[in-house]
Amino acid sequence: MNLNRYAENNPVAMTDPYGLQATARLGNGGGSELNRIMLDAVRGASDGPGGLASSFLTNTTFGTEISSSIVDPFRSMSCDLNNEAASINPALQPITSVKEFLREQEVLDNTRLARVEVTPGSRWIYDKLVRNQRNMSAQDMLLYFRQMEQENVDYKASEAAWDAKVRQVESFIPGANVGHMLRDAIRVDYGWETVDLYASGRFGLNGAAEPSKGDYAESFTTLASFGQIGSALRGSQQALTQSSRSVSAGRSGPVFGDARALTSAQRTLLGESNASVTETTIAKRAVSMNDLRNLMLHTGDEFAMPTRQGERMILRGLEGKVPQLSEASAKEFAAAGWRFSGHTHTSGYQAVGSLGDKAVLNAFGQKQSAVWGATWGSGPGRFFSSVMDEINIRLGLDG
Amino acid sequence: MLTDDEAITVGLRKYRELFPQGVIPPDLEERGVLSAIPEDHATFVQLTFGIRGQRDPFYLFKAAVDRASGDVTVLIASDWKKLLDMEFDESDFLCP
Repeated sequence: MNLNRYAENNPVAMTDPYGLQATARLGNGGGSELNRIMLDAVRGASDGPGGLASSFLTNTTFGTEISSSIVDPFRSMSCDLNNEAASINPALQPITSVKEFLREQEVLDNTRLARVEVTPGSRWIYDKLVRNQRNMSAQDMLLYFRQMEQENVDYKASEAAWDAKVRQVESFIPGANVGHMLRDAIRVDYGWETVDLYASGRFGLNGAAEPSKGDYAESFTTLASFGQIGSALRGSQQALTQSSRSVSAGRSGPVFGDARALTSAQRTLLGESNASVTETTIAKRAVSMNDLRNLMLHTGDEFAMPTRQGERMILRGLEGKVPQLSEASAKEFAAAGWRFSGHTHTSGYQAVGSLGDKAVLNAFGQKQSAVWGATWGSGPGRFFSSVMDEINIRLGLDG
Repeated sequence: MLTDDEAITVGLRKYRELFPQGVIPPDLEERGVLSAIPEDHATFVQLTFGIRGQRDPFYLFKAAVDRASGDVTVLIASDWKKLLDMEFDESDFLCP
């Protein structure tokens, strides 16, 4: 089942709170604001069966990123009336039908993380997927609010916060007043675990910084993402500097200068691995060692990654070590079917094995493993479980 | 053009030329960590020993193998007897 391509141009077969009709021309009923927007969205599109040849549900760039690195049960869904993703990447196949979207209900029931992007004009999507809580069965939900003042997003955000499915929120916020909008939405009793604020525009910084003041800084169980305001504002050096000062808790930016901007997948993983000496299990294709390299550069902590069939265990260490992956625990991992895929070394250290690394490798019962250093573009170093065995085997000598 | 694995073998052959089997007590030699690092045109092969209290390991051997030509350049070949006086790192968990 290919969730990345929703080819059937079937009208929406449900009652929409804003008046969307399944049987109307172009799949839209008349009269509501939404319909006007929807009609704008499909303007110029061909009239296929039921209309809506243009997309209103697409995989956005987030979806592309996810789909290339994460397979089921991870899923990315976004609402994008303006089809921005397709304009960015024409190869993207748009989702053209909510009905078809819902047809994947069974899959969505098993979805670990759904990403829903709320954009101007797509609030009905939000209503269906979030507020009604009946059309989205993902265990966790990550909301993207493409901020628009007229859409009363703070109301929507605060409402969504009461949905236990909502675990993370990312807000992309152009312009003024964002702080006012989000200030009330980011309270401790809303229970979000992470919040990323992407502020831009003349007043964006003020808005983004406001929730970090006072009690609001204590509002998150995970502050790592919050501290990434600095990197999120990379486009504005002035904003970067000011935001770093204004963040009162959490790290204000990457620990190491070589860090790259976090991808959505990396932010998600960092949200899961939000403290030193933690363990997170994730789908195998959801993460690469380069992801861990970037997380290492952001956090300053070493990462290690055992793999078992379709899953990976992400072990976040403490600075230059991973104390929870010892010779003893490695034996337990191995007995449980895990294999040692690799680990990172922090900046300033070569991508070579240490005696501790070697001890862990031997405990896994493996001949070799790899170390990813801090330098982008460099391949992993390899280290071996036995000096003499490796030499003897390679040179064809008797042991 | 050598593969990375072939380059490692070339480097290890040079290592055995310089440190024939049995010259270094086997138990002592096995305390080292054999690593290979691929870079643009060369693969570095090295044998290091972690020393207690020292940030950087002791390099017994390090060579660069040019994967295009197959040439091997010995960068470090230390006196192995220095190992006899060293106190090795005893870490049993992941650490650099």
